[in-house]
Amino acid sequence: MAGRDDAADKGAGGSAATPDAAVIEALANAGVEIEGVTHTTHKAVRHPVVRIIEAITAAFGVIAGLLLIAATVVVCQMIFVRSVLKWSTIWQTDFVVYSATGAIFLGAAYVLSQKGHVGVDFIQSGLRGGVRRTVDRIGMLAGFLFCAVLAYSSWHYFHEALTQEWRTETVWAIPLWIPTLPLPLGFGLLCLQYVAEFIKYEGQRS
Amino acid sequence: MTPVLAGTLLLLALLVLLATGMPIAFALGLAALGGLLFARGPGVTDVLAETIFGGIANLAYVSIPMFVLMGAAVAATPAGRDLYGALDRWLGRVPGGLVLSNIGACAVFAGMTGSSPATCAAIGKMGIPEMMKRGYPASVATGSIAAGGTLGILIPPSVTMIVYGIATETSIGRLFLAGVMPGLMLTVMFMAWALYDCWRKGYRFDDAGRRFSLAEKFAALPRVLPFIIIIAGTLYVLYGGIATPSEAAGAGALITLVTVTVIYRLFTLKSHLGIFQSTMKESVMIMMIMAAAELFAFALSSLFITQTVAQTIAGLGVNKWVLLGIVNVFLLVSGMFLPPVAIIVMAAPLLFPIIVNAGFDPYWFAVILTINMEIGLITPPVGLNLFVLNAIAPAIPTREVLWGALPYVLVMMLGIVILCIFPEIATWLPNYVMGPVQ
Repeated sequence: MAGRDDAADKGAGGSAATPDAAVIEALANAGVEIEGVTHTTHKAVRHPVVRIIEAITAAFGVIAGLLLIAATVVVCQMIFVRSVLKWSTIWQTDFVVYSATGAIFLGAAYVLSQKGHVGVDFIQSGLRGGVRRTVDRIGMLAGFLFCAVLAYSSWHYFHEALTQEWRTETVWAIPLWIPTLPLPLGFGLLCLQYVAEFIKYEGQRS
Repeated sequence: MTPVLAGTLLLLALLVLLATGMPIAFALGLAALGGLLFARGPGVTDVLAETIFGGIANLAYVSIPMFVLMGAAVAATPAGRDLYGALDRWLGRVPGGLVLSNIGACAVFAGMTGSSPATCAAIGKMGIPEMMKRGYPASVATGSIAAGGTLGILIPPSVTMIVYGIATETSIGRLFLAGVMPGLMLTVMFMAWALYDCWRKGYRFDDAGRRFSLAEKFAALPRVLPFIIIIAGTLYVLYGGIATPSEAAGAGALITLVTVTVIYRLFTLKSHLGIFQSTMKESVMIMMIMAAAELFAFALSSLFITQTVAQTIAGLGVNKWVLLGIVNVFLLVSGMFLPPVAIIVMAAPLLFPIIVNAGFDPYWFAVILTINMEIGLITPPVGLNLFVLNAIAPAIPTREVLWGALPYVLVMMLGIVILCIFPEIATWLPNYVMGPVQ
């Protein structure tokens, strides 16, 4: 995918964790030990705030991955139950939809840290010096702004669902706050990750 | 403010935001936010999250990460190399044989994933270095992979067809079938162009004159077996009356994971982590763009831009083919600036009634729209396949890739013309399998 910023790809002094390392680190943080994998130590020192934020977003990245796996398994279980056992399915559809949707929001911040959100870099990568820095900063600020507004909006939505005790309009009828919780969490994490991106960017400039 | 002025300002804001290099999803979202604040006032922030959530929390959309997972699982193995290696044994003596093999491998891979960038990455990662090693120019190697990769969204399963099906309330199973024959047609046309081009330029780079015996050619066929298992298994679940497309996606993902794990001995947790990680990354990227496109569509209708455009087109009173031409130009231009899913979320509900009222078949139109989106994937400034190629072959300048991909763009345009003359290429198979549209 297109790196949004060739220089920033290298992270703070080339210390950005490789994707695998970040997942392993997050798993380790979550208390999961992987056999045969030695815990990666980073050669260069990352800003402590960046380290904390990226550990949090990577942990949610792992949760997002697990939710996607769960959704895949439940879809297969649903086919089995309905076509082989000929039973009706009640909770499966809701579970699949809400876990997959939740995964998208919970994983978004981790994907940002991995430069996984595609951007158009051909103009910005052609710029040099101060103009380039200004454009980079505006881009990050604009991204932060959008995520912050959505964090507020989705908090409002979640809060209403919780206090008004809304339920989903499906057979299962679970409280709506559960499937809407990943929205404020996800956009909140995106805001946090943008803070980390700022720190990494400025650190690399100085 | 008139809708025309509002639309122009919204488009300008979007382009300026995109130019900063920020993620496309957030640029779309922020531009939409500006439009919505203007049209509806600050109170609109209360409904943003609901719009996004209501837009993407849909059972059919669940299939997107699962079809991406199918591709990621195969891409994590040397399956891509095995596939075009097997094809190469049969095509090695033909001018540009390896280029043809790679295009063929892209078409087979497209039958297992719904995503074009994934197809491009899976085959290109191994195909481009091999072509360069044998002496093909960079433009020929990358151009063919860029174009072959676009087949990912035409040959089912297809992410764009799923989004089109939801946006227009058409049958996703039928849409998938509509893409099969046009997908094969484009594959043959791509191969024909590659063959002609390599013959014309005198490229004959077989394995240093090595000829494969018939026995060796047949010995390579079992390597294609995993692909046949995966595609046949998924098709059976999909059309055997067992499950809906989204359920078939889950079953397909499971079949793929089990098949590649057994055949390529992926028995470590680490290799599976890699598969889920790349699935999560690409799915999040696609779905966040769709989520933001929901907001953008909401902004367009709040500013009465959607309605104005629809009325203007309807009021033109032109011949239906002129109308289709206008729609095509619109799709081509927007395809240059935005990813396919964003355009379909925003434009399909607007264009669909216009096209159907003009007497066109909605399933045939889905194919035309998808080919337009394929062209957008390999034209600047926003071409997801170009970005992928830049990531897997950073040493090759984008100019070379574009130059190599240009003939394939013309081939696709020719494909659209052929489909306009013979719409049955798209509509015959779904009608044959599923009966005529009720």
